[in-house]
Amino acid sequence: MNIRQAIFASVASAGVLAAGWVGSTPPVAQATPAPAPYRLGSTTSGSAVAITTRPAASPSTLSSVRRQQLRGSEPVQLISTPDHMAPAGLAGPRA
Amino acid sequence: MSVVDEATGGPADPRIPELAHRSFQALGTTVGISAPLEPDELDAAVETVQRIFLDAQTSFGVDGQGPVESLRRGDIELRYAHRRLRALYEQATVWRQATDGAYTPHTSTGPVDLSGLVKGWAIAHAGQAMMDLQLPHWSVTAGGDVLCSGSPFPAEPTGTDPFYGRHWRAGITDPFDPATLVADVPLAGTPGFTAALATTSTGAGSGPNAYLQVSVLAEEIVTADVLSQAIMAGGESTLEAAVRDFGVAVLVCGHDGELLASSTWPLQQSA
Repeated sequence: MNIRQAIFASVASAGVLAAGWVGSTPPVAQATPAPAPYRLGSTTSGSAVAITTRPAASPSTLSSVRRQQLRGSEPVQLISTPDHMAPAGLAGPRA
Repeated sequence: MSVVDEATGGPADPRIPELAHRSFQALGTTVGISAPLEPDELDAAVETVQRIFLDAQTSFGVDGQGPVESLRRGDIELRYAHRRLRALYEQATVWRQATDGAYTPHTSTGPVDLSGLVKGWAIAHAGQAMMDLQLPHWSVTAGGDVLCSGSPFPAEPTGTDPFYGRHWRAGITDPFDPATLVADVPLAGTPGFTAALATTSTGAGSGPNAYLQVSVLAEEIVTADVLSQAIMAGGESTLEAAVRDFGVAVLVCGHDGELLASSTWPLQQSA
């Protein structure tokens, strides 16, 4: 059994299917992951989302935020930049 | 030389390959694939993804050429178009209804315009292909769109930790300075499930928009992509509806540079 098969087997045996973007607390920093902030995702492309424990969506309060609240100290692997403004060397993945 | 695991600071698991990257040009943009895979495994996966993007180019067109452009110009009628185009149009009309018309598959003068859906369609299918290949940890980027699963630095699961290593982290470019980032967010996914980020910006020559740039976090890329376009066109009321109805998180940058976030946007705790 290679590492990929081992991981899949572990996923299946644990029955753990939480995923999605998360809040400001990195999940790996927690001894026991809290289920509430985590979002369930979709296993299919472009189709209905298979939600089983989605928390009730609260009405959005659009609020002003400071730039310091938006930047973390962890390295970035991926870049989201609109096509028409992508400078050379910034589009695509980051190491 | 010992290799250090970036997630834990301890020795890296020698059984897990380092994060590797590939990129290619398609649909008028750079498509990036990243995954902790052996080079030959990644090359095989990229070949599959390239075929999907090539297929999208053939079916839909790119850079003002092809079937989508022919539809937009009115050269062909939708009822005579390929079934894939008709299916894409049906998908677009569902989104138009879901966004109260903020997203529309028509130009302002009437003809069908499906160009806003093609890239998301291709990325979504690329992600599905990675899953079909039973690859648990990967990312696909194309322009402002990011779709990922698993971790860039996977680890063996321990205890009840479902994340198998550090999450992906995606940056969003500053609309006033494309060389810098205005925000970055964790995109954590248990293998087999996706997280998506899409950013839409006011393009040169576009009409008046409520915001300069809109970023949307969602569970899959078509939702993120379409809602970012809808919010750009529809403004705050569309933003509120998107957060309420689709459970997404939104960050917008106003024309004056003010940054506004929905209450669901992940902010840094230390700030």
